[in-house]
Formats: sequence, C-alpha cells, structure tokens
Amino acid sequence: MKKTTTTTPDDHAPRTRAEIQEEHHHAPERRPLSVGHVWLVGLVCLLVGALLNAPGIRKTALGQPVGWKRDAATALADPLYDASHALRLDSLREGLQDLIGRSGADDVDLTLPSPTIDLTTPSIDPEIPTTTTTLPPKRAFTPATQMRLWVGGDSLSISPGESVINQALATLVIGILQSVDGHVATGLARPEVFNWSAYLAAVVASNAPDSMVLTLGSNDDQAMTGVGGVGPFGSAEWQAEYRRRVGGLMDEVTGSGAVTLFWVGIPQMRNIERYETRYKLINEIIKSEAELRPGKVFFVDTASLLVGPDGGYTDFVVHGDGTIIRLRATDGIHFERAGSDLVGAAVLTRMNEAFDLISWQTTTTTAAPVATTVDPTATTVPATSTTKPKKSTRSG
Amino acid sequence: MLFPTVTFALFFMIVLPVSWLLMPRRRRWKIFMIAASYFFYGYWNWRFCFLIAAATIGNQLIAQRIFAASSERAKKSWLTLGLIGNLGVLGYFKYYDFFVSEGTNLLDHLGIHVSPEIIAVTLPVGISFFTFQAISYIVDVYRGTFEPGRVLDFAVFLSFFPHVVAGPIVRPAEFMPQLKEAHDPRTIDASRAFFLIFIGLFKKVVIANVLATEIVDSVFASPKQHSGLTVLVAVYAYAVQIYADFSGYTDMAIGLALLLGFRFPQNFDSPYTAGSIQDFWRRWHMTLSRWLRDYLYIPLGGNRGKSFRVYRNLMLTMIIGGLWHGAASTFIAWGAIHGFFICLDHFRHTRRQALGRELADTLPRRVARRVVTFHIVCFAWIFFRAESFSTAGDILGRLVDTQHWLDASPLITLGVGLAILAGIGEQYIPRAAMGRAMAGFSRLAPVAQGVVLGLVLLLTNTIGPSGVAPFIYFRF
Repeated sequence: MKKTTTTTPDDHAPRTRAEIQEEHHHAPERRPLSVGHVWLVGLVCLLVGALLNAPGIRKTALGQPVGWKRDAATALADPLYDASHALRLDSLREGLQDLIGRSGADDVDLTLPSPTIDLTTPSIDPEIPTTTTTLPPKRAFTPATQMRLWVGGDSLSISPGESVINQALATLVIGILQSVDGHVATGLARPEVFNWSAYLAAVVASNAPDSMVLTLGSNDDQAMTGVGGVGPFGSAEWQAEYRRRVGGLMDEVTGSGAVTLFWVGIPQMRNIERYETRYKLINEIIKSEAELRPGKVFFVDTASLLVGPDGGYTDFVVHGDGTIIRLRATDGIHFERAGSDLVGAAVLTRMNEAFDLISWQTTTTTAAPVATTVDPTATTVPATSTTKPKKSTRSG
Repeated sequence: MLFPTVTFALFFMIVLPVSWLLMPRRRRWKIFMIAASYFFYGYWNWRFCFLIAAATIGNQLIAQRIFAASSERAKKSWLTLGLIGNLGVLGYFKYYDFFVSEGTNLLDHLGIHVSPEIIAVTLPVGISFFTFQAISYIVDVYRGTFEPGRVLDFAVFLSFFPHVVAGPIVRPAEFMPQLKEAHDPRTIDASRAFFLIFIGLFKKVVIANVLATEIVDSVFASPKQHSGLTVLVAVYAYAVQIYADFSGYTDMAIGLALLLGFRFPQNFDSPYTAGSIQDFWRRWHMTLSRWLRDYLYIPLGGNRGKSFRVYRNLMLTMIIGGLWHGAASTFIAWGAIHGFFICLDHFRHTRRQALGRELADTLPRRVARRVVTFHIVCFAWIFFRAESFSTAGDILGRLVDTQHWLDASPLITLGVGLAILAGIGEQYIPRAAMGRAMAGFSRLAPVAQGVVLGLVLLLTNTIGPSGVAPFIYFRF
C-alpha cells in the first residue's frame, strides 16, 4: 500500500493529543491526492452542490442588488434551476425542507397589495381650527387582559425590538408573541427577497396580535422589483409605487381593525448624504401614509431622537452628569443598547398614546371617555407614562 | 470575504491551482500569495490593507534591528519600540473608545470633569490575530529563538489568507520554515483537508447559526421574557454555538491551508471533554493559550516564586486574555472567572501533591469533573455573551428564580436540542472512527468524493438559516 505523506514536514507544527491518539490507534492510511484531483473534487462538489441547491441559488441571485451583478447571477441561476428541475434534483432539497418544516422557503412571491382605504377622504387641513370632540376611550389593557405584541422588521428592528420587548414587559400589561422577528436585508422594494406583505398577513392570521411594531425602509433606497416594480430610486414613479406598497402593507395589517401598527422610522446615519437624499424621502412617505390612517398606524420618528447637540447624527451622547454613552454601532447605521433603549422608549410613548396601559394601576373603575383635541399627529406624552423616557441626546 | 460563500469558493478555485503552479518559483509564488491574501483581506475594506502592510514593514524593520543590535540594551530598546508600536495600534483601534469613555466616566465619579474627543473607530477585521503574530515574531527574534526572515516571507506569514482574520495564531517558527520546504503537488492530504473544511462548514452554518437564530440571540437580548429552563438551554446553546462557530472557522482555515500545502497547529481539542479549567485551556483556542503562556505568563514570572506571585500571574494572564477578546468589562469578568478557577485548580493540585494524596482517576470522578468543568465554563460564557453586567445578572436571576422555571417555551425545539447534542457529541467521536472515515473517503474516486461533498453542501445549505452570519471571532 502506498504510504501516506503530507506535503509539509510535521516537525514544525505541534501535534495535538488528538493527532497523537490517531497515530497510536494505527489509523488506516489515507490516500493522498494530486492537486489536479483536488481541483476536480472541488469542481464536482460545487457543480453537484449547485444543482442540488438550485432553487435556493436562484432565490439568492434574485435577491442581489439590481444591476449587472444581479443580471449575471440570474443568467447563471435560471438555467441551473431549469436543469435541476428537469432532472428532478431539486426534489431532494424540497424533501429536506418539508422534513424540517420549511416548505416553500424557496418560493418567490412578487405581488404586493394596494391600499384599501378610501384615499379621497379629505385629510385634516392644519389651517382650519381644530374642534373639541369626544373620542371613544382608549382600549385598556391589564395584567389579566394583556396586549398581544409582535415586533419585527429588517436588521434595524433587531436591537431596538429587544428594547421594546424589555420595556413592554415592564408594563406588565403587554405580552410578547415571540422574540424579535428580524429579517436582515429585507424591505418592500424587493419582494423576491422577502415578501413582507404575505408574511405579515400570515402572522396576523396565526397569532392575532393586538399591536405590531414594524421597522422597515432602510433597505428600500433602490429600484423596485416585483409586480409594479420601477426605478430609479426617487423618481416620481418610484415614489408612487413605494407609497402604494407602504399603504397596501398598512391596510393589509390593520384592515380588520384588530391590529394597531407602530411603524418605526429610519434614524439618521453617519453617512449624512445618504440619509438626506434617500432615507428622508422614505421616512416622509411612510409618515404621510401613517397619517392617512389615524388611530390605526402610528409613525415613530427616530430621526430626531438619536441626535447630537447640533441636531445631526451622533455616535455618542454625553449626559448632563458627564457620562458618555455609545448610541450607535461602529457601522454608523445600527444601534448599541443605549440607542436601542431610546428607540424602545419612543415606541412605548406612542403605545401609551394609542392605548391605556396604566389605569389598572390606580383604579378599578372603567375609564371615562377622554375629551381631547382632534389631532391625529399629536405626540403628547401621557403624564403618567409607565416607561421612564431616557435622557434625550440633545441634553448632552 | 467569508469562507462559507460562493465568492470565496470561486476565489479559492482560482488560487489553488495557480498557487501550486507557481510553487516551484518561490519568489513569484510569494508575490502571488501576498496579492491573493490582500485581495481576500481587502474585500471587507481595502483601506485596512495599508494597515497590514505597515505592520509588515514596521515589524520587519524592528526584527532586523533587534537581530543586528550589538548590545542587549539596544535589542531591548528596539523590542520595546516594537511592542509599543504593535500594542499602540491595537489599543487605538480596539480600545480607544472603551478607555476614553470608561476613563471619563470614572473621573466624573471622582468629581473631575473632562471632555475628551470621542471618535468612532472602525475595528479592522482580525487585527488582534495578526498583531499577536507580529509580536511573537519580534519577541522570538529578541530571544534568539528565531532569525528574521526575508520581508516577503514575513509578509506571507502575516497576511496568509487562511489565518489572517481569525487565526489560528501561528508562530513564525511553525510557518516560515515551511516556505523553504519542497512541496509535492502529488501528495496532498486531501481527505483530511476536506473533512476539516466540510465539518467546519457544517458546524458554522448549521449548528452555530441555528442555535444563534433560534434561541441564543433572543434569550440573551431579553432574558426576563423567558423561563429558567429556557435560559438554561440558551446558556448551553451559547456554549455550543461559540465552540461550533470558532472551531468551525479554524477547522476550515486549517483544511484550506492543508490544500495549499501548509500545516497549521490545531486550535481546539474537544474542549468540553475537559476535566478541569486548566485542562479546558489546553483544549480551547490552544494557539491563544500558548501565546499567552509564552509571551505573557512566563515573562510575568510564570510559576516561579511564591504562591502569591503565581496566582497573581495566572489572574493577570487570564484577565488580559479576556480583554484581548474585546473592549468591555464583561470580557474582563469572563477572564477573571477563568483565572479564579485556574488558581483554584492550581491550589488543589499543589496541596494534594504536598500531602501525597492524589485521587484515583475513576469513571464517576472523571464524569463528575467534566460536568462541573462544563458548567463553570458555561457560567463564564454568560458574561462573555451578555451585553452588560445587568443582562448577565438578569440571566443568573432567571436561572435561580424558581417561579415558572419549567414553563414551556417555543424556543426549545427539536432542532435546538439536536444542534446542542451534535455540538457536544462531535467532541466525543473516537479519533479512530474519524481516522477510518477519512481513510475510507480517501479511497473513493475523485468524482465520487466530489459527489459526497456536494451532498454535504445540500445538507448545509438547506438546514442552515438563510444568509451567513459573521463569525463571532471576527470582531476579536
């Protein structure tokens, strides 16, 4: 039998006890390969792996940023998928997915619903004096009848979502349906990557949440694909289509009247130009669509929340007592815990506007109707909020 | 560029044959390998290529000066300069914000108000690894155990892409002599390399990622939301996740180097089978352990002198080892916990030796020691993973809070259980069985080997969560 030899001398690298044991056990000799054969093994492995994983590769290719790389990737992935399907090699992957409960994970759904509310309803004119009227009482939650809360969105939802959950739990009247349902690198621009509309419809149907905290938009500064897809980013057509998708998603979630949606906006970023020229527009579209659905959708503004003394982006905040706290991750986009906690507090503040989360603490009587001024965009913080708002970054 | 990506697979399929074709022409091979490694490293951020280039030139100059110096004093001066330079760069990129903010906060508590400039420093990937390798180069030259090589050799050593971002931490004496050896392209230990690469891939993409996404991240983010049982399972899951993540990466690194004709030291040796914390550190991140031993613990005095000094040296070494992982007090706590239990091991061992009362190594004792050691390690992992002491406290609080301790949780799934079992069980696979499997695999025809590995790719890609999460140790 040909003796196994390695290509490098053994005396330079120390041997582990595992290697020594292996030798002591007289492990059968391994047949070495030439570099040509190694390359052949690698090539066959990649070809077989590509054919067997073709549906997943096609989905990944479709998920590339729009441009020549995506075109090239799909040009390679499509025939690979066709070949895999023709040879029925994709059935192995499908079978495995069925086995682990991920059926349909490679499916691509390109449709996104349109708004269902009547957009011809006149909106409130700020020039006309507001009138005092009586609103129905805010829905009250107690520890016995907890709010069912879902939290999720893109990567910006993950750390702030955890803060929302921690702060919501502290109220004792909010129950969490699941941990943060974050899907990195997703949004409304690219339904082939992740179809939020279909996904949230399924979440609403299966979990019956009372409230949903959704963070989306930071991956949408690109040309849109899917049905109604249009580019380039920011064009009038793009804005109209993005508005349709945002409004459609809001109605999809809140249409039954059972769910209140809290949409967390995009914070300022270290790349100021990108924020000013791209994310500001996305924020404005989402905010204006939320305002068209008062009482159903609340926009949580984070752009004015995590700012330095000049009102612009900041990594750190210096509190009045001199302590320095890092708010943002080193990438200048995501959050450190302190920044997430600020976002979480802002979400809870909005929830206190929408719901009665505190009266159970003080009285057993039914809350009386609240007399207030009709202003769907009011952001007044209730005097007895259950959450203690963190110090504003402006304070430093 | 991450190992478990199509981009890297294509990169390696080009580098592999070109590397072997150029191998007989050493100088060309070295230039090619440096270019390939810089391309690999620069794929994250090309600007940091200048950092690694500066580290190469700076440390090579220092090493040559140390070697050429005629007096001990001059050697020491050059070494000091080199250490200050390396640690200064590492300190700036890794610890500047931490020390400035913690220092300011401390001074503030003392009533001294300062307003230092705060800048968000971006951490270059792998800086801790290549800085430690550079330090070992100049220290070895200073000690006279290694002569400085040529600048191209040192450049290949420092930037070699299989180990540049997350180790293993290779010594110059282990790697640079291999650059002078003859490499035979007909006798590559491919089956061992493929086993390492694909087991590493499975550990990272399936075991580590499943545990991270299905339980660990959620529980460590909001421990109060979960029952004691769920938190306990999440702690076990994190112990397995970090092992699968890091050992998976180094398995791949060692396998890739082997295919290129280079041998790296092992970095993990079934750490969760350890019978003591000392034993754990002989099996966990072995290249860091011996680096700390040889370049920190022994220079501090090692186990010479009085007991107090030995314990001080052990504690200091482990605390600095903790700080190496990141600029956070929780890492220091993690190092201190390990330091404390190593001291305890040391105390018990020396006391037993003095009394002549060594305990017999029976099976029940061995099992008990392993269980206890694993739980001490898990306890320390809580501080390693938690964002703050407050979170660590919440986790520990949940573990001891008997109310609703056994409440069922949707996070404890069959998949999580299987991943934990696989991660622990892998460490108990008899070496002989693994040896037989590798030998059997090596006897298959190359095409059949490719088909088998393609099936592993199917399993990995289908079972693993979508997307590739960054390796935990990239940030260290």
